[in-house]
Amino acid sequence: MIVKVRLYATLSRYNPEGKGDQPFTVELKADSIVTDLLDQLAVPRGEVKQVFIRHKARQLNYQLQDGEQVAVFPPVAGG
Amino acid sequence: MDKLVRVNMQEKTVKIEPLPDKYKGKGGRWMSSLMVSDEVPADCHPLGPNNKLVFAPGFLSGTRAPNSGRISVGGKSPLTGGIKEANAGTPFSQKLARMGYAAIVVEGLAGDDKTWLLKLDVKGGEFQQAEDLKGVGAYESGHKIWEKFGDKTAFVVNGPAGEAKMAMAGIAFNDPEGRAARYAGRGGLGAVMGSKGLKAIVLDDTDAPGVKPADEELLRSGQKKLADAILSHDVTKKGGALNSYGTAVLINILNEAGGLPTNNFRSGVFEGASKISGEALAEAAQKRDGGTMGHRCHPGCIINCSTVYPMKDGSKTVSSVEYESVWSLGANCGIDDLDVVAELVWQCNDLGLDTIEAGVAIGVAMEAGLAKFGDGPAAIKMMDEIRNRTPLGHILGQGAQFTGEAYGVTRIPTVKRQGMPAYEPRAVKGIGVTYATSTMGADHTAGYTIAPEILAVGGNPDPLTKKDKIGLSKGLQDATAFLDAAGYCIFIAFPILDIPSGFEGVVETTNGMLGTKYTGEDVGRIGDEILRIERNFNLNAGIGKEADRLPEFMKYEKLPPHNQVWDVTDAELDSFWD
Repeated sequence: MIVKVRLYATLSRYNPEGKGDQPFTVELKADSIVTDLLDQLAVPRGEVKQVFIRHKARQLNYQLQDGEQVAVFPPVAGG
Repeated sequence: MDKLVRVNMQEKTVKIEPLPDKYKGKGGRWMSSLMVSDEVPADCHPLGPNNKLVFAPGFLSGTRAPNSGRISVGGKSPLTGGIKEANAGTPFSQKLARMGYAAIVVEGLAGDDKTWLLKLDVKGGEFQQAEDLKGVGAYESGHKIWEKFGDKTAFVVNGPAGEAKMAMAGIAFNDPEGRAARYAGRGGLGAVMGSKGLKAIVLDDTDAPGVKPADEELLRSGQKKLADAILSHDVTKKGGALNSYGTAVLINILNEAGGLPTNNFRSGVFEGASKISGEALAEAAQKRDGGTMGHRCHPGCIINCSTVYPMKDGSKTVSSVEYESVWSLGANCGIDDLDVVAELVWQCNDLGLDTIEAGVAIGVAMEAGLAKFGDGPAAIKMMDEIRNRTPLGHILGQGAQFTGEAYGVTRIPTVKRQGMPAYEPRAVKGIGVTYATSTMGADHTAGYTIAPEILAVGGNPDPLTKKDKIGLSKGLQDATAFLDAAGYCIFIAFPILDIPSGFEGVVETTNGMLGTKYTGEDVGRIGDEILRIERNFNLNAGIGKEADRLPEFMKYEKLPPHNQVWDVTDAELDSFWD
């Protein structure tokens, strides 16, 4: 299956296409979960704070569906 | 800090008085709200002779406690009709405290159509006529003040919008480089300053005695604990998100969470979000000459979330470009060009406008059909209307509520007549509780439930459910009121919510400075006491529980993408004060 990924803020350095926080696609085997995606992209889990899919925060064991968009954030804050 | 500066605009007198016992050990918002509550009749006209303007440094300002350089400005708000405290991080706060002044209280109206500047040093104060600053933008006024009085002084200055008594005018303090860019922005306190005929206050801290902590060692211990927490927490450490991308790093995450109000609160998702994000801002600041990320608003800040944004054409730099401003003047108006947004921020800062209220008012004007959403040049033209004091400029200048009423708009995102900040309450229920119940009107800083609800700091509750959000908001509002009293930046809340020793540091610095024996529980108790002082003022001003409500349209209009309405009941909101 194919998912669309965005790596935000300090995680953008792991964008395999070197295009910062711009989206890119990743091909994964069926039944992959979020951690499989992070491992494939070599994003250290310790740097990941939040994952949003379909506008909701998801757990790292969330089972991905074909065509989903995955937004990955390090710890961020502001106000 | 054992003295009080009492300034009478009508008599042009400045008296240095001993601080009454009642106010000793108070500071910041605690001091300003208590003093306004004691001295300002709740039913007075905000722009009349009986309103007062109180400037109070936090009780830790002037010490070496990290991030403690915030000043509170208080008075009756011409925007909400209730009590107002707005605060800013600035060297002004630290200098005022080190001069021994716990507060400046400005009373009466000059009533002579002249422009007055107050010069204050350790011996006292004197009035100077400042006709050369009349109607002059805040930035240029700041430059002129440093040219005349030197770059060792600190200042607070009112912009042309405040001079014109517009209800969305804030008050600008200097940053370390002398920019009039650190705003006590909300609630129209600039209009109060304008009504009094006071353009600026300049502090010369030569021979300042400094602050005298009751227990130096305890203060130092607390200072270290807090600094360690700030510098080790992922969001506040060097190279962390705030330091690297500024507060606008929130644009993308709020957008992904479906909680970024777009086109006057019609959607929680903005297609152009990534073009106006902290990441885009940092890229521009790095590529262009004159940009800075990791700028600080006052010495002693160790987070450094402020920014200096260089315009593409090299014409000028804009500081600071913050999340709230990028949202209000960007996504909320459908504008996805960061240079247009930065120009609007510059205009707001120079005119002396609260960027949140300005963006919400423009969004309402777009809703009314005065311009199309996304039309940046039209938004800039609205700033010209305000600068030129045209009838439309005066309508916009009175804020979002007034603008909406003038044009028959039903979708006006305000509470207690104050424009909503950058989080959709239908998508993040806790912040809606804060908007509804805050004594300040719609205000995000008052009880920042976004930390747990969206950022997973200090908890991780579902933002879409209203369960337990009254208590969450109350706890955070109490804690925030305490931090506002101390003069601490609320961003220390991120590390102290997660790191217990950081919170100990807050208590120890307080006790070390004041000689008190407060415990962690006293933080909430004191915060609650401050909120109730403010609440009582509002009740006496005729602002009761009926005003603790979100606008009606949010109850029946489903917000995409979550298709949620505002579902917290009136009874639930009323339980906030139980």
